Amino acid sequence: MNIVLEIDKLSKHFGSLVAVDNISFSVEKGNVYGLLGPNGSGKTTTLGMILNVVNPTKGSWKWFGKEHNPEALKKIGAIIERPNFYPYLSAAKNLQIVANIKQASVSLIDEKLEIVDLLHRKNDKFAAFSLGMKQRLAIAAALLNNPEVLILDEPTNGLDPQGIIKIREIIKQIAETGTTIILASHLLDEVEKVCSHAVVLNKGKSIYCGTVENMSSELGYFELGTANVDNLIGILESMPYFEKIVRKQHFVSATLKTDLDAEELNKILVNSGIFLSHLVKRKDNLEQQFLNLIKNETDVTITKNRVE
Amino acid sequence: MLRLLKIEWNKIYNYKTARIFIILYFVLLASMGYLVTIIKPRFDSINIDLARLGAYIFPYVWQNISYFADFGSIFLAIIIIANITNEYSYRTIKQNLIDGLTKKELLLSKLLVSLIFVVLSTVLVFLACLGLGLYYTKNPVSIFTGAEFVLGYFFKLSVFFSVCTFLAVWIRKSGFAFMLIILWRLGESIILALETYYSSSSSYCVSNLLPANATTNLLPFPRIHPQNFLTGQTVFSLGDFRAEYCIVAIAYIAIFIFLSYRLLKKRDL
Repeated sequence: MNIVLEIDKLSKHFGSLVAVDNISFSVEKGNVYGLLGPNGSGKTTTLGMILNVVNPTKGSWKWFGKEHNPEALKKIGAIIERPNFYPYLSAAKNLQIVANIKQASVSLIDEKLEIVDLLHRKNDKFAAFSLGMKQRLAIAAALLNNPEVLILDEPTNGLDPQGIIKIREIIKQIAETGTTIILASHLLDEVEKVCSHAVVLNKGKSIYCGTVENMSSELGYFELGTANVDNLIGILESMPYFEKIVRKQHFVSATLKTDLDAEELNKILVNSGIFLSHLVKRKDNLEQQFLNLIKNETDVTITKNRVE
Repeated sequence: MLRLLKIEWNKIYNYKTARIFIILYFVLLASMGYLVTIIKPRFDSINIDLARLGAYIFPYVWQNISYFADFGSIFLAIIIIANITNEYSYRTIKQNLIDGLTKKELLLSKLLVSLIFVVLSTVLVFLACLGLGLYYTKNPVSIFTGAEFVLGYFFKLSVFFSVCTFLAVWIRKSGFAFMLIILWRLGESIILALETYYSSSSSYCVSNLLPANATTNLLPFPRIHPQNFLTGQTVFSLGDFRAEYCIVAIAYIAIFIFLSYRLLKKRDL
């Protein structure tokens, strides 16, 4: 495994407020990570610390296996919160400054502007850009050095649907090139659409780190439709696989207790003389899973408090 | 170093207001040697021709012109402060750091700009003094007597700009930083005046060690003796250049740069 970033017991206190509380996780090369959490859960603060703009209270992190590595930032492209550029400079001039800072070649500017579809506006002032264009310029700036890691904090915040789709496409494109991406967002379907891994933060603590698939331990559920619903429910109830069978308006929802293939289930039902008009195996969407995680966390705290 | 200069060049030169101010300042400074000769202030219907009063002959020209040129430094101070506070208001300071500029490099790039301003100003003032002196002095002998005031000018600007840098980093808002600059200059003069008034004439005024006062000792107000005009003697006499204040100036430059760095380092963005 090739570990790009390793965070070890990182904490940040603002006075009495604990913004980030003992967070540890690591990021592997080539994956797309979603950094999830409600507002104020410490996402931006965590990113600020690993990007050297916020001083940590405790803890450490390693970029590419090295602690205190200012050179590492030149191999990273990052946008935090909102695009920050010199409003009086043109897009190209702004990128020139970024290129000089990152010691990247100025000749890459046109290429990157092309990727985010801004080449035709390269000589226009940043101040004249729409929010979507500013956001895209920020992505172009982050890509300038052909980064090994791309960090995007709420890249679609405040954009219209077209803008969101455009940014999402750009992110997918970049992910395909094998760039490691860390995407902080509270928009879950955002993350679900592009991320393979997730780190979930809540109230400054990290409560999950792993693949998006494994985020929920649940096995999922089936949606089944047939002409004779009563018959179907009877047969399902006689099987050992389900923990809950609910009749819905147009179909039956059966929640799994032990794992079962859709194909397998279909075979069994056909053998029992039931022909399905509708068969889908589903898992809770990320939003549901995320809410469950946060809820569990809260439940645990509540129980703890009660015990104490 | 070149990289930092390139970065700053793009930031400042493409900023229209700053560019106009800088060009105007340096054009004025470069042509000062000529401009001062056509300025003839009027007092009571008498045109005072400073050239005929001997303001531009060696050695007085060094002190007079350096002192006069120092008023222009406020132009550069505005640019230096705005160049730093803009980074905060546009939040580009954060992006610069994220992009891989270290806090040390960031401060260094700002100081480099100040240093270039100071060196360029000093060279131009030196040339203006030399030119005027050579033109107006009948039989120049020891040309460079009094040239130490140009060094005083150099230190005065350097201390002033390090204070500007510190205040800009500290306050982060240009308007309030300017207000503090004005308060600071006024404050020091008042403190010195009070101390002079209440202390015995022989004792040393400690407030001479304050930054603005200390550099004033390196470039004091020209000594003028109007009564000599009537007897036909030179109106000017050379002030004291108190070389020991160079050390005080260097100490202040170091202190303000250190304080700026510490602030940058400690503060979250």
